[in-house]
Amino acid sequence: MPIELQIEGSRLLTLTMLSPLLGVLLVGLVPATQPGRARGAAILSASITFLLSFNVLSRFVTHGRGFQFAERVEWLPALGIDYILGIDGISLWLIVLTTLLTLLVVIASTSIHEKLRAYLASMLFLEVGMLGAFMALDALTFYVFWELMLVPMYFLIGIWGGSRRIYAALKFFLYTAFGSLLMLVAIVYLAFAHQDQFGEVSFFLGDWVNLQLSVREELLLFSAFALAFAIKVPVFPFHTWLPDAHVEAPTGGSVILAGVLLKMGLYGLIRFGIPVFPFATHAAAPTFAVLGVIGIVFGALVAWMQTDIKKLVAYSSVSHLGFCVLGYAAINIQGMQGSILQMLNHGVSTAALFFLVGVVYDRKHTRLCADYGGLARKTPVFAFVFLVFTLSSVGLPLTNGFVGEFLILLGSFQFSPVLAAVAVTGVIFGAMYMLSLYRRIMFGPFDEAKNGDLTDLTMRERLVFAPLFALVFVIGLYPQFILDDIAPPSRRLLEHLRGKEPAQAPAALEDGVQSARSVTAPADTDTVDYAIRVRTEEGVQG
Amino acid sequence: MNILGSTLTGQVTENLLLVLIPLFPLVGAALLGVAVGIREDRRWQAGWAATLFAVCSFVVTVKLFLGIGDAQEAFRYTAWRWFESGQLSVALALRMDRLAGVMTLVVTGVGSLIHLYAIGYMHEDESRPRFFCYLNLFLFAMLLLVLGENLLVMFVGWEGVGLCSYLLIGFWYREMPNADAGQKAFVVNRIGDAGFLLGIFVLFWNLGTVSFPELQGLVGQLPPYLAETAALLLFVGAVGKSAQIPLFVWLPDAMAGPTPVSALIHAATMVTAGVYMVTRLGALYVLAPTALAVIAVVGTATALLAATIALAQNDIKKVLAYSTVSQLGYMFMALGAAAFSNGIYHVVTHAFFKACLFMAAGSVIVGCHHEQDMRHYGGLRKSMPLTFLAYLAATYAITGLPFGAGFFSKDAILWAVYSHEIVLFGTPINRVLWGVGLFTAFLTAFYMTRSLMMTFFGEYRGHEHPHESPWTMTTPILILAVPSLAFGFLFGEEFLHFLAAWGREDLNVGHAVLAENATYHLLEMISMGIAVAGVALAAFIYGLQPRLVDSLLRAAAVCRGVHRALLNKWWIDELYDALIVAPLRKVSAVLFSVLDRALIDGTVNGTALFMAANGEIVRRMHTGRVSSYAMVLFAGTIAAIIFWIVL
Repeated sequence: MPIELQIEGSRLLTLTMLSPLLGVLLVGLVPATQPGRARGAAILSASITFLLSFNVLSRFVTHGRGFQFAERVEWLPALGIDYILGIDGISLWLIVLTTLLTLLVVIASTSIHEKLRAYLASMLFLEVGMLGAFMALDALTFYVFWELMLVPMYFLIGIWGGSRRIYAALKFFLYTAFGSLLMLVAIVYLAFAHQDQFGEVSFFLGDWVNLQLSVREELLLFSAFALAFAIKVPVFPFHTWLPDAHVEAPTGGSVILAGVLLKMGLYGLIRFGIPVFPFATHAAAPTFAVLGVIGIVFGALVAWMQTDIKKLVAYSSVSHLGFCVLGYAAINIQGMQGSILQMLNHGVSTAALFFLVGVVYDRKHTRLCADYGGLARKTPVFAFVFLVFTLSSVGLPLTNGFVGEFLILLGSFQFSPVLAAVAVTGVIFGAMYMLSLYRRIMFGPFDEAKNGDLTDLTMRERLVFAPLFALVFVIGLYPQFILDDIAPPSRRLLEHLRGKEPAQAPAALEDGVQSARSVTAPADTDTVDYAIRVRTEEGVQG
Repeated sequence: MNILGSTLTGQVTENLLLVLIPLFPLVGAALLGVAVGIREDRRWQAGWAATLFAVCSFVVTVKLFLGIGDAQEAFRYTAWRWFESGQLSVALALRMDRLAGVMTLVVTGVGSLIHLYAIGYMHEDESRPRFFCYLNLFLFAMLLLVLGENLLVMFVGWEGVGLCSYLLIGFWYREMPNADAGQKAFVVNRIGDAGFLLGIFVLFWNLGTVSFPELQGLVGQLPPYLAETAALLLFVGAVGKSAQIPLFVWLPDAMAGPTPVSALIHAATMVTAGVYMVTRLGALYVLAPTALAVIAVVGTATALLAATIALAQNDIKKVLAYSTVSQLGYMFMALGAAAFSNGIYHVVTHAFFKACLFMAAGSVIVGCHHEQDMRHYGGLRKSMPLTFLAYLAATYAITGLPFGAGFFSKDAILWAVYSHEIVLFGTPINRVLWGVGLFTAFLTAFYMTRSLMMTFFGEYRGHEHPHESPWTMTTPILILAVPSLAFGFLFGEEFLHFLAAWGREDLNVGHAVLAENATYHLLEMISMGIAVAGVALAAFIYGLQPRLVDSLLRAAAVCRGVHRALLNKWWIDELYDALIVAPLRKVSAVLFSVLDRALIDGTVNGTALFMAANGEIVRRMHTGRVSSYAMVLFAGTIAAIIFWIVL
């Protein structure tokens, strides 16, 4: 699987990625006494970044080859470290999601009163990290951005969080840092393995694809990557940092955490895991599938038990991400496309749900379901918006949640009907916990004494929900505009994986020294056949 | 046996009009949704607007329906390709053939009448715009379900009607029981939907398509075990939506919704979606004899169980709800005998008389100032003569007395079950099922007559002064009373011929020929006698000997026991609570507190503490220095980036 870079001189990606730093600068220049201006500066900056990413989106060629808008600069040549960026259809939409959510978070930052400037700056720094991680094609560049995300998030939780914020922030930090340290070791190992085999140190994904790794090496290195990614997703049982982080984080932090950061793990598995470790990806797929299904059911059942709205939504993320992991592990086109689409959908609906929790929390300073009830009458607009995102979260057809979930389940059914049958119960449990949440907050008698002062959504809040609300139906009615972009890279990845099932490698397992890839070299013709077949099928369909 | 022949070869015409049918109610729902907050004095417009959209939809349906020629013809409209992945390609497409046409007529026709009725029924409710918005939205979803060209569009409607059902059952959400009932309906339906999804997966991965016409041509390639699997999985969906054992428990609770909702969604249209779906996939089901036998058994058992419960209910809506469950059971009996068109026949007649019954009951409820307990009715035929006439006609139809609509459609089902070999585990069971079906017919006649007697005859036992309902309510009821009486007599035979492609040839020869068949004649006589017996017995007890039941209950402990069991619905809800809901709750609580918090998180925190306590370096790294580590990393990265930009 050659990684093709479509180098372009415009440096559009770098520009987009670094544009939030302009905002950091502006926010820093505003005096602390003028929070409105600081927010205005941040909104301006986030808008620019969003428009830049929109520019990327509009210039992106759906059926283009390889990675578009690529940039390659020698960074530290002595160490073989390059700065390489480039995007395909998979990262494209995650980038747009990132810039959109950051913009909305900044707009919604009115509830932050202390150290507003630092908050905004952290958010914008975070955006740089997220965008960089989605754009990087060089493992070290990726790693730098990966870690860069960690720090502002740590501050966001630790400074603007709830009562147990220090505990939650520390836990978040240690958990993810622990995972990524092992990944760093693996990255360095691979870079030197490249030196052994090709004479120069390289961190470039495109170079790593050509590495000859023994099966044992591949499995070990993949494990190091996979652990870091699995913690980030989070895959059961590495998920316990998530509810704590979510509950303590400020609304904006939760939105970004759920909306974007959680996608980072699965993105890493797809971007680096599949090309570099195809055998290991196959070998680990059953494990990931089982853990994904456990996550689906476990997350849903535990969410059902929650009395804290935010915790409920946090555990629902464990369940939703379980679907994404299952789709990835199915190793077929439906699973892959569904998984990536569902990452975006989760970004839209769960981000919105966290915003919605923030709405009532800002007003009443409590997140317990029991403190609300009967709000449908008092705050009808809020109730309506909440209903729409609830339905999107339970995957009602014609909302965005459906198609992703459907494709994942469809794909996983081919992989294992039994696992799919267990996973499909997630559809039932999802309805159970989300509707019971909705019922507890919105229905029943309204307590005038306690919640009589509740007000409906303000214009600013409506503005924040408007784009997410629109996306629910746009994606629900016509997900194809995203699926079209996701299809070519997904197909390339699957072609790369084809013929590299563990069943074809037992010889290599016995003879640990021999290169795994050379054993299955003849399988390449298969790959070509498959590619042709896929194309013919398309032709027929078109 | 010519079953579900060559619909593939037929002529399919693209027709833009087709899209208007679901579009009208969708536009209506959108407009009303925007208008939920309009001024009090203008809210009366909402009902008329919604009714207008429903009627428009009906008119277009009639226009198109008259254009459907022979059995192979269909109209089609493709909106756009919804999504594609690999070889899966799903179009948002509609298709109307004879079967879909009949269902669409029922949905829009009966639907329009119920909209009109709801104007009167809801005229005091301040949330009318919201109500009619949901009602129109329901029509939209139901029409997608019926007109869907493929399994996924049907599924959109399938879940959509579930959503509207949820919203409408819990319409008066300030009362928690209503909200609970809505949620129960949605969740129980989702159990069925999960099966539906798995059924779609089996079909797709083996046949490579989800489109109905394509599936029809391809199902023959399925190996028998896969055909059985797919058929059974999809039937799980039908069990949920159409309230069959074991998932019927949501339907009686759904009576918490306003009565027009009960008439439209929980009697005439949505609950028959399962019957429609099985019929739509009839080509698959005829290849799955075991699945058909299961369907027949489930249907028969449901018919019987629900009818027994209906015997003892005092809430008039509950009687009708269990009656609906029971009648749906009959429809599945027909499907189990592969007599799909007979099943649809009963769907149609049931839509007439059950919608009529529900709306008449609603009229009684309004007339008696929101009293639903039949023990507080009595003698209402004098104060509510129009409602009485309609209820009488519909009761006549459902009890299966000669020449009412139910007489023909129920007989068609019983005949199909009697004469068609249904084999489960090697034993032919059709005679048993027929016997149970006949007995259920007796119960049906009994409990429906009981409700009629308790409500309209004898002396008035309530306190408020009952009054007849306005014309917006009585008109739809009286209109529906007509086909309840005459539909089978006038059109029954033509109807079965019209849907012949969805039935067994040998079952579709119609009454004219069958009447010369001695066995058929005999069966018809028997079921007629049964109906008369049931009606007569109930009329005797509740009309002439009102004390008889009480003295029976006092006299024999057995009677008391049975009565209690029926009154408490055989404790099935309690059973489910104890066997499923409570254990699931317990498991979830344990998963959360023990597995998640104590074990996993305990391990995580324990590891951290262990390290903090034992390693000096680790301690410093993990407690005091994290932020500085972070700062160093942060600063370093920024420096690197700036370094790169500058150079």
